[in-house]
Amino acid sequence: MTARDVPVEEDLDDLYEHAPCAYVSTDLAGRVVRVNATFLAWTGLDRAQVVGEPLVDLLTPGSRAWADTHLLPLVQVGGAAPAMALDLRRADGEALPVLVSTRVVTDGEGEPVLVRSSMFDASERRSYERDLVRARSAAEASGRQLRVLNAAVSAFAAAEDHDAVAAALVAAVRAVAPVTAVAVWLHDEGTGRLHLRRVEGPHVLAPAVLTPDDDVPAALALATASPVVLLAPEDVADRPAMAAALRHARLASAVAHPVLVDGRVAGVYQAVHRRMRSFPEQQAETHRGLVDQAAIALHRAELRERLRHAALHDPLTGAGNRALFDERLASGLDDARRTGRPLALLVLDLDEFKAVNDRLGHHAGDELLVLVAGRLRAHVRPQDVVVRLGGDEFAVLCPDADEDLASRLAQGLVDLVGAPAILTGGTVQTSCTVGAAVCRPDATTAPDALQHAADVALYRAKATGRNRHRLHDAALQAELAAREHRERQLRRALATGAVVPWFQPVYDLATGRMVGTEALCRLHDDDGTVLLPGQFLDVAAERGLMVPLGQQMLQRACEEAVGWDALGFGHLTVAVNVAAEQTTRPVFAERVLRVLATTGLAPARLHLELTESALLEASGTTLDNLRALREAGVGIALDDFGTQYASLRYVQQFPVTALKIDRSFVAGIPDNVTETAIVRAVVTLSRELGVGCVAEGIETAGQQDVLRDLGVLGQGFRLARPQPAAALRELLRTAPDVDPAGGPAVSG
Amino acid sequence: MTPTQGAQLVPDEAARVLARHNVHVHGPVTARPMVFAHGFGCDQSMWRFVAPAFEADHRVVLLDHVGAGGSDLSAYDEARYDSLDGYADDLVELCTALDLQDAVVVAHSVSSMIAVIAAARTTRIGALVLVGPSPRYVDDPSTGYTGGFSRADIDGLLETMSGNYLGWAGTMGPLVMGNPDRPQLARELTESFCRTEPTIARQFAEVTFLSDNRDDLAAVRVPTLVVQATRDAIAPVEVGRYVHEHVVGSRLAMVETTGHCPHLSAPEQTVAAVRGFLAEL
Repeated sequence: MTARDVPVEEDLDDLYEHAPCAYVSTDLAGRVVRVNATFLAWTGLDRAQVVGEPLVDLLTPGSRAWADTHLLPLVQVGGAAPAMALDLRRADGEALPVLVSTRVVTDGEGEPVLVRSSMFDASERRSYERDLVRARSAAEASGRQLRVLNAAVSAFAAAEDHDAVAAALVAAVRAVAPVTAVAVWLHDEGTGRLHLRRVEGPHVLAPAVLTPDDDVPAALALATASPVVLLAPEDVADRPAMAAALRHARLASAVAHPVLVDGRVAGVYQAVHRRMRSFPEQQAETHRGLVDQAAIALHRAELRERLRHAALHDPLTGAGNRALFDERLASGLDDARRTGRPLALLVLDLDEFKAVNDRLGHHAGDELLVLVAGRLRAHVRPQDVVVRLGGDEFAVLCPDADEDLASRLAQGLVDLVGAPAILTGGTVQTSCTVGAAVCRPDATTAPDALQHAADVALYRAKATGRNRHRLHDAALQAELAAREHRERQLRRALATGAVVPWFQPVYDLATGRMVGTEALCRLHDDDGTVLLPGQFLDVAAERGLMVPLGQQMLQRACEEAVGWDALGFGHLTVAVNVAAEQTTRPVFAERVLRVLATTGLAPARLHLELTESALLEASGTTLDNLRALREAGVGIALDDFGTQYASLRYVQQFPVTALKIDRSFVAGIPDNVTETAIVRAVVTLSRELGVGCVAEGIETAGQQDVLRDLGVLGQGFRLARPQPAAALRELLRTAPDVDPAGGPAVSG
Repeated sequence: MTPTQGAQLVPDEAARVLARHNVHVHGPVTARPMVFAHGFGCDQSMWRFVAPAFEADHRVVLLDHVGAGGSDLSAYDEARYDSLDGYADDLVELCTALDLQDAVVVAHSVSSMIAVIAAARTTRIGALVLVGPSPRYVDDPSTGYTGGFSRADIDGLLETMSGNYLGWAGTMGPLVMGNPDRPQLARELTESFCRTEPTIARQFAEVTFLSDNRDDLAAVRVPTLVVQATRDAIAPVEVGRYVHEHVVGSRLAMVETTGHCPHLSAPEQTVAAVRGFLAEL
């Protein structure tokens, strides 16, 4: 037999059965009628397993769905379908990729009767296709991933604080793939917990504070410190509570990632979706990249906030510092301006803080400051700002606080700080002074007006005794106005010579003879009233007028004293009070001597009276001045002797010529045993030292008697009151002496 | 959610909506409207054997979902169409654009659920015909619900789709074997038949096969017919029954045919089932 002899039917049959492609014929219902041997060889199935079965059942489930929705419609409508990639299911369960071309065959009358399909093995082509498709979608996905991460990096870099990081994170997560809702929790250094910082979309499965036991995917991510991917209910089947929560919120899938900084969970984000999702590796990778970026951003935000905190807080006490104060004051004023609510400021000074440092050391001082700051913070309201302005100075800024509240808060602070402080080195009893002011600012209010007012209130509180508070109220303002007025009076009086000495005679009690006078300062007001030192000396001291005052007093007293010579009383001494402000100046001695020279008063007739407080502040200069004056013959008397704590020291250190016994001791004679004893002792001391002794404030006969017996000099209302120069001259003319037995000077 | 009439659309807006969905309208303007919504895998051409049967006494409206057929691809928004809600909103907008009242919506496959969601949002839909519906394709072991697919099956489908990317890219190549036996159909077929943009198709597949709309069935308040093919592998008979049981007052019509598209494989029975349903309204 030759090739030409082989029947064509055999050729055709063989070509059909063993074609390089698989042939499948189905009826119009899709059931297999005929297949070729190639098909059976490829699938590993028997003819019996295939014929009569729906062709779609021989496909993998995915391909079946595809064929049902894409292949069949094309065939049914158009009568044919082009090459379509599907997977056959082999007998061993493996998938065989094929390219299927399909055509409907009609009978003689044009009615469809058969469906023929050719299938080409697409394993290799499919694998190239797949590689290509995968490469393309990988490239697209990479492009997308890159865009998402780039945008995230920019957003994170611009994020200044935790809120901005949270916002950037949410935006980035949403860019990865559409989601129903995103929530971000961030760790709060203050509370140590994870707080919900941002939610976009429905607020579901997002507790305000995240704990590992919550029934939300984010909690699982927190508990395991690793990503959680829930794409279907099966993924959460072992957590019925969470599954129920998801169902209840009408959610089907969720993804949650923890963000770790230095090994601890600094944040968690959670993306939830209404339907199930696929989660390709590309997406997972993008999320990993996001988490890394977020970690960097959070770390940076943390550092920024710590830096900011350090810049605004006092490292020792943890209270705010001056920079914070300025900031809060400015914003507090703005708020008060806007809302019309008053703003209060308390400024607080520790009394005698230096003494604590000196006594117990600087560590104790620091400890005390920390303790005080703590007490302040604990006492004030949450919205109040406690700052340490420096040294031992604190301030409390109180928004929305009126005069009443400010006053109560201020006194509360005085009481609180006044309570004993138990420090490492010992217990300290300290106190503080508080100045308070309230501001209702408008457009014209100066930025430092509030602080100035509080400072003034503090100053007055300190000047009037410390350990108290003052509110800058109408009373204070009246007080300040009065002091201003007083200062103006003083200055005018000094300029016009209305500051004059009145004189109180000093007597030798044994003989009743007047031996000298004390010059006491008086201010003659315009309307004729006469002001006593107690009414203006503190203003004079505050306003730096003590020196001119003292100088004028000295000048006039000396001038007047010279005038007594003509009356035959050229032996009378005149005692003038001098203040520390005068004696500490190097020119003091020179000044005094010049006055003596110009007035012509003999130096021995002048006594300078110094209080012990003046000597407390004494320097070498004071000593030099007093020595020079002593050398010239001027007398130096210690006034209010015995009332300070170093009286005897002063006697030792300074060239003293007389002691003046303070009136508080004289007052106790003779009934008070202690005071009488003290007086006797002072007298004895003066005698032993060879200095003079003058008792002040003699008001009763009993006092006079005792003092007379002690043989001292004396002055007091019982003997003669302070009086103007003219009146004294008159007294000299008429009754210069007193009855040693008692009673005032009588004329005649 | 209470369904509303919705605001009227200005003419420009209405025109835009209609163009977006490649809308074709046939039949008398005053007749009861009948909207045909295709399902996953094709476009309005799917209705070519069924829709014409109603043109005489209904105002027949055919549409393509955004991303399919002749729709405006530039209107596709990944976020809007990430769930069936976006498609439902489209359907509502379309009814409003055409000012439809008491419309019958005939919806195939995934469009059944789209129509169910839409019916809860607008009063313009008066009746539903759900062809091969499935409220959820993935089995739910926790409740014993059989959707017909495991999660792995769906992943396989999505994988198959990537494999078919090149075959579907943009235009269709000419029919490989030609169709000399049905030349008139061959001429009618344009390159746009069953074209779907691949990235859109991928997301649509994900949205379709991973959605769970079982809870939406209970909200249906309009007369409903379920048309179920007897051998449908994608929306099996159990699923059709599930829908019928969960839509109060609904009817179930079984159509003896294989495959997921009874309106293609058994058009006359499908038409008959719908006619029977309409007659009872």
